[in-house]
Amino acid sequence: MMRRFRNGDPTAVRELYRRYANPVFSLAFGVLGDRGLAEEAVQQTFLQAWRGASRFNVDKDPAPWLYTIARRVTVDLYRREKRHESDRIDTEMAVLGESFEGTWERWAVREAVDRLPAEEQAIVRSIHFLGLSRQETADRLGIPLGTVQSRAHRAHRRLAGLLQHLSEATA
Amino acid sequence: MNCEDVRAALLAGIDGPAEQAHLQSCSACRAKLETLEAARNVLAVPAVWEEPPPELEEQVVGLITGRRQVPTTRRWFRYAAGIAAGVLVVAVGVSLLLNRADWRIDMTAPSPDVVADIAGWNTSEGTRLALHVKGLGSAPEGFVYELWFSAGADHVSAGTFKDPSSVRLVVGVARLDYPHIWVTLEPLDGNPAPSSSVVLETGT
Repeated sequence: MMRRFRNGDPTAVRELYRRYANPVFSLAFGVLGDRGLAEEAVQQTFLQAWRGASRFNVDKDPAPWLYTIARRVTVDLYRREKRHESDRIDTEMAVLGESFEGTWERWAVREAVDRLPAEEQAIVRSIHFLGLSRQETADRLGIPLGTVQSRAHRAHRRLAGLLQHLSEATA
Repeated sequence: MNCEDVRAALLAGIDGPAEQAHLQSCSACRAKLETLEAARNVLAVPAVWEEPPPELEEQVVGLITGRRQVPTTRRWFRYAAGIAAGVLVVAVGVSLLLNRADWRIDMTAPSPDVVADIAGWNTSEGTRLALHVKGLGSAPEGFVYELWFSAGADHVSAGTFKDPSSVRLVVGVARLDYPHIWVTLEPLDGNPAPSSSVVLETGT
């Protein structure tokens, strides 16, 4: 895919976007706290990736490379908005200031979640983001409790495996 | 319980006697404990679950694949691009000093009730844009607005949007090379060419 992306193949551009747009967006949104700016970060990240793709080793995992670009783009946008802050009346920008620490973990978790089947994603979201119990999740999704439990177990097993590299990186 | 089951349970926030017993005898799982707890905390962060709007995909694909139409192979263009790049570097430095857009121009619309202007920041990647429009509603169902940079019949899309009131876009070309900037109303029919429905326009 990266070889084709480098050549500007629209199918590969779309493939890479679908795989990584969510991690880029959640990284940027977590830092900038503004959907418009986060969208700008997504645009700039993929544009810069495409422009720099000739220097990327296509045999490597593109995730760390894209993460680096996304983080740099987000830092630039953050600095730009800070510079312009006095010129703008934008209450949403007042919530800026979330730490840049933990952006790799957020990226990795989002990337891992996106690799789960949709029905497992729904369970993980319900349990962790909405804070619902297994029974409440079953009621909300209209599926039996046993199904929720087995899907939750499968999802967490898969996620723990996908996130192994986080502990390897910090070891 | 094997290691995979214990790690799944710990990530899910289940920490019962069976998990504790396993942890006491398994140093590999103990080593993962901190990471799994951190990952569980991250799963509860609202930003992790945020997603870009669906229309952004077309915008990004168009931005990248549209750039391929730029005539970069002609020698005169390379010279012009070199000069333009120098101008851009100076312009970016000046804009940083002045803390304002490199250019800002009014856009005209068929209706006198519509007031619009577009500001641009020249960057080494192209141009960052801020479009502000008053008096023009959101694109109707099945349509989007699309902003174009054009030089003659060569059109480069800066992206699509539904609500025109305050839009930020990035286009991979410079206004110097693509002086005509315009906005069309586009049906969602997959046709990458601009429609004839022009809603905003600058002079050339």
